[in-house]
Amino acid sequence: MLQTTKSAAEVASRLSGVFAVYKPPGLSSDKMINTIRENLGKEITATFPWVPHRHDYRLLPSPEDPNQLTRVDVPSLYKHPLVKGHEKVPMFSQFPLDRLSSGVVVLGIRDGIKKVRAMFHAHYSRQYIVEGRFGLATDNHDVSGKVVERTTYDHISGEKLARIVSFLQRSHQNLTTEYAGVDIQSQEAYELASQGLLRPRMTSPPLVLAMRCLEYRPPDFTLEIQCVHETQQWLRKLIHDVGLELRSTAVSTKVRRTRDGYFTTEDALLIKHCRYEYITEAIERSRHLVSWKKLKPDGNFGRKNTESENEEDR
Amino acid sequence: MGVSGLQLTLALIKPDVHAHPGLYQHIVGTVLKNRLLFVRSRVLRWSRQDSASFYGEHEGRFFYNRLVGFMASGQMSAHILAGEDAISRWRQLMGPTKTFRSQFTHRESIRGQFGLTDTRNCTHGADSEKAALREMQIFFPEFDAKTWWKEQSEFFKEGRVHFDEGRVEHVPVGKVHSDEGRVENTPVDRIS
Amino acid sequence: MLFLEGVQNLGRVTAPIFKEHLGRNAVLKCKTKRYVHSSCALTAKLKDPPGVKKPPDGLPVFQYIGKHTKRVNKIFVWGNAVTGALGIPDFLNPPPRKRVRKHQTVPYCLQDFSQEARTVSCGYGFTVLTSSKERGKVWGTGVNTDSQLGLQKAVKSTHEGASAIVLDYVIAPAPVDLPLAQLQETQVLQVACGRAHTLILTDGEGVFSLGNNAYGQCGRPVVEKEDYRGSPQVNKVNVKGKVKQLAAGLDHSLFLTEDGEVYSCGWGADGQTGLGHYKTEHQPTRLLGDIEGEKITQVATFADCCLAVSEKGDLFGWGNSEYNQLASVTDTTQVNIPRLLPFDYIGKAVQVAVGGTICAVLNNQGQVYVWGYGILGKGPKLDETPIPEQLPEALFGRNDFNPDVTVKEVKAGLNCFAAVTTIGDLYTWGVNKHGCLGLGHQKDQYFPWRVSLPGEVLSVDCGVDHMVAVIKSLL
Repeated sequence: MLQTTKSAAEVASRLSGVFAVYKPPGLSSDKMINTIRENLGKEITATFPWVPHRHDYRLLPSPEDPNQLTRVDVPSLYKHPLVKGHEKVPMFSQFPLDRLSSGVVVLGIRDGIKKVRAMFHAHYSRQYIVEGRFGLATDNHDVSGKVVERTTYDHISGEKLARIVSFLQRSHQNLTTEYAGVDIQSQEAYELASQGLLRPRMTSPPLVLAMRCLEYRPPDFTLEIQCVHETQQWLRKLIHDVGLELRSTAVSTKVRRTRDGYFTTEDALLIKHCRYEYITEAIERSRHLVSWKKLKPDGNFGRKNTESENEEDR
Repeated sequence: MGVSGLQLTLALIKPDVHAHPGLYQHIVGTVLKNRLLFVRSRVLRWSRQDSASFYGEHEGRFFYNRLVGFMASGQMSAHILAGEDAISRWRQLMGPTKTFRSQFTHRESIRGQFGLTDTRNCTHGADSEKAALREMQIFFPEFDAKTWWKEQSEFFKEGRVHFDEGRVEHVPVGKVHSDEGRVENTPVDRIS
Repeated sequence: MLFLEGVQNLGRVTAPIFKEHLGRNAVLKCKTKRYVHSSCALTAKLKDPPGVKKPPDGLPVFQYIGKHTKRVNKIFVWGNAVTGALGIPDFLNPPPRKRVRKHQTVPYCLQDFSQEARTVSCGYGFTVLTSSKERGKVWGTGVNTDSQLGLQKAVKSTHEGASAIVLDYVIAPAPVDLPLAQLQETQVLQVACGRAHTLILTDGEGVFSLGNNAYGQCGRPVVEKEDYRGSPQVNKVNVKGKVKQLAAGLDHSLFLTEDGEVYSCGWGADGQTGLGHYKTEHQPTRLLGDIEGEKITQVATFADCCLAVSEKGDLFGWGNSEYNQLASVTDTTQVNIPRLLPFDYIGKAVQVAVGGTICAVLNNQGQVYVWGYGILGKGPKLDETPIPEQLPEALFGRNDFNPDVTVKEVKAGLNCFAAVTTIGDLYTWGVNKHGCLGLGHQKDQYFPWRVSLPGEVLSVDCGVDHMVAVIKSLL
């Protein structure tokens, strides 16, 4: 199982890379990351033997002759877990999720942090499954908030919902090309647009790249949204706007991120699996997802949404 | 001509402009902004024969027929413009004849902005001093260029003129403008 | 709202129903203000759903729209506002502390006319509209110097007394008087506008024409030095056969009959009448040449070049060819007789559009091909081509999420194109004079770009420097 030849400090310092975690709702990302980090450090400390990295010497009275001092080598204790505490693993997430939402959070450890930061400049799209409910309006656009209005929704049919969703998606279409970082008047813009490759490549307001309705079972509905530069609260606002466009109101009941860049839910570890063994495996497994080639801004668009994810949602 | 380079030219504003309220005013404004002065102006309506004789030099060219037809299609106006290097400056202001091309190449010109097609291209301008004289004679037979040079050119050179909006003409300060048998009412802003 | 940025004036708040409830429910007033859609805030009414228990929080249930509310049509206008062709009086006659608006670069709702909009046509600085409520009537707005909108008068009162003045332009849609024999039964089917003339097609009484007749484009003999200003004359055009479709060029008119024959009258100096000569023709005359024996299904013209498409999907063209419009069949600059255009590779053509120097054809697979000179939609590089080149479908919004989107209609203005897709999106491209593309700016657009409109576009028409679209609301 674990290679006993390494010391805990060595293991902790060599652990680096990028992996994804599935965040449950009701837990803040910071807290989750802290917990993972703590647990991982504790685990490493506990599993790997403490090996003194150097020896100190002491001059002690010789057992034979108390007037003589002899040099005695003793292990240096200043890096002992009982002195220093357990091993610390630096961990960072560029796109955390807020407390109410769940889904894939990509974490970087050590050198992985650089890559996670580079993901920001790659302007990857992220995919969400958002569930909403018609007939309510709350102060924070989430179902948990304080209800401020109730409306009818019997006029909303699946067709109307699909129409509005499609309309809202298309209304973002122009904006996505405006933030593509190319001059719209140029031949380059035409070439890119004719291949459908114009997409945001610079800082922009939140933009929907694609959106569709997966299910409508009044009053609940499920949308699949691909977007960039979003926050989860913005997505809840989007649900609210869908409600308003349909002359009703809507709140979101679930916000779930199913894809962040190239990482999907399949690549994500559950929190209970955030152990050294699985994390190293996950880092190895996803190493190809974060190659520098892909992190270049002119890399590919992102992984196509996986069908299995959508079915799971239904 | 004059020492200061004052020149006279003939400008025609074609029926497509006169069919569009406001556009005529805009073009007159553009001319004034470019420091060209209106010496004489008149609004007229051509018959086909008038038009054919005016464009006689183009007879045989493929556009002759449509040019003649177009000029006879409605009300238009003729202006004698004065200014330094007026002939080339007015032509520059107008832009190239080919409206469809000048809207890409000469966007700021009158034709580039308001021209409809190569035929319905807003304006006409004399291309040389000789042509200007000939065309002035056609539209303003009563206008005597020699007398004007002798009597009024100084006013125009020195800028001692004011603009009469009703007539669309610059009148020398202190001079009473003689009505040289002008018949049509000058174009007025019909909007208000 | 967030998504309707760029589309102004969504809907006027009219219904006073909510106001009644305001007094009763003061709580609602303050609490809902932040969350409610601006356009429906005052139209909401309270509803207690039958058989449904009141929710535990005791909040009332609002109804903003009925269950069986029908989708309504709306007209959106944009482009050059100086001429009054947009039909918005506030642009030219602004309320206090507002400025005169010369260009409207984003679509603006033509409120007073919206609910019953049916078809529209745009000419040079004027617009003619028809309504579905009063089907026998036609409304016009914009330039009227040649009485293309009929005799429009206004009463001007001075200290000497009131007098009628003839309006040279109208800034809000005004009814155009038609000499219909049966006012109740006759319906206006189509309108077409040229540079200074209007053609109106009715179902029972044939075609009427108004406006400039300097070349006989109104289908009546040319009167030398006729003054068209203030003329109340509406002419009934005498076309053999029942007219199915109209097309108005700048100074000529085309009539397509139900038998698939094409008739034309007006100016032929570029051969645009297609009658084999370059003279003017005031009597609608049948076109021969290559279209003889073919059943034509659609004709299109805007300036001096004409295109037609037959039932078999063949393309025909005549008129001006100075800019490669018809260069595939001729080296001359003018063609005065319809010629078959040999573009077999485009498949079966179903619809054509032609502007000043730009041509487009739509085939039965919804693909758009363009040729001619100008901004054709293939980026700034391509300027001139005599044979049609396809515009990539991705430009019309086809992607993984909308894989079936195709173009269903393509229209051309003088220097710009407009295309409507099957999901009701409007795309425009070309020269953006006075903001006539509706993209929010006045820069030229070199490939199709979606116009932000709050609904499904039913039809669109392009004028010289303005555009009008009829849309259907989303709900």
